[in-house]
Amino acid sequence: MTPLTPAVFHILLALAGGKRHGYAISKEVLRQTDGRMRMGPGTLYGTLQRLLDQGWVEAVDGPESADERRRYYRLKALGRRALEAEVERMDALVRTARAERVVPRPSRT
Amino acid sequence: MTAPPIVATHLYRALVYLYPPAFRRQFASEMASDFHDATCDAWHDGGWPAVMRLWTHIASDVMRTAATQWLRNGPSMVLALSVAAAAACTFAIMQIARQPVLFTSLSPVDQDTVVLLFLATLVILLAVIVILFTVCFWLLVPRRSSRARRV
Repeated sequence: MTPLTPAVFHILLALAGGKRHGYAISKEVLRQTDGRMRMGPGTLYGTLQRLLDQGWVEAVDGPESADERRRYYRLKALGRRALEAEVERMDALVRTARAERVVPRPSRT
Repeated sequence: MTAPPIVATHLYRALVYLYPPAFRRQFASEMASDFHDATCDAWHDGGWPAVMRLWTHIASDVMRTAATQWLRNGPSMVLALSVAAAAACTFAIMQIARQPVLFTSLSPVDQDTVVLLFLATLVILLAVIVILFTVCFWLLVPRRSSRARRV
């Protein structure tokens, strides 16, 4: 299976916890990556459009109290399977790297 | 100043016009909302420096992704524009070849006049583009259709 692009992977991961609107997705990606990956609206919605077309994500109604301007997005079964496959692929890579004694240096922070 | 200017959101709405129509119809409203909220958050977090960092990032994002979206959503439009531009260039070259004008043979005063006329034409052309763009923006602001909201 072809590896997912970083944008696709992080959006799917952000939606794994439940439905979110676009801005909440970009904030969640920022949180998951400790501020290292800031996703602009063009990247976010361009990727979401592809995921909608592929049937990995669907647009749904928000909660009752939600902002009317917002559309919410939810992970579909196909998208969850793709995310799980990608995590398995990454996990296998990390195991291989550890077996090769490739250990990341401890963070300075 | 106590908040980032609202005109920035209007400017961003104008920038969204760089995306293909289909993409704008689907996402322009959400993109503008996100821009507004992100600007407010950046303002509260770090003031002008944070806002400027955000806007720089978003401007580069627009330039990068608008081209991608045109290639993805509007290849026929890109092709049509390219063919039209190529046809216009070919026509202009043919006209020049048919009636050659030697710029260097003109007197210095005439050369200045030609340059001034050329610059004036450019300014007028730019003004027309800006006016057309503004009119199109206000008349055709993409609104999320009821069908799109159900998707």
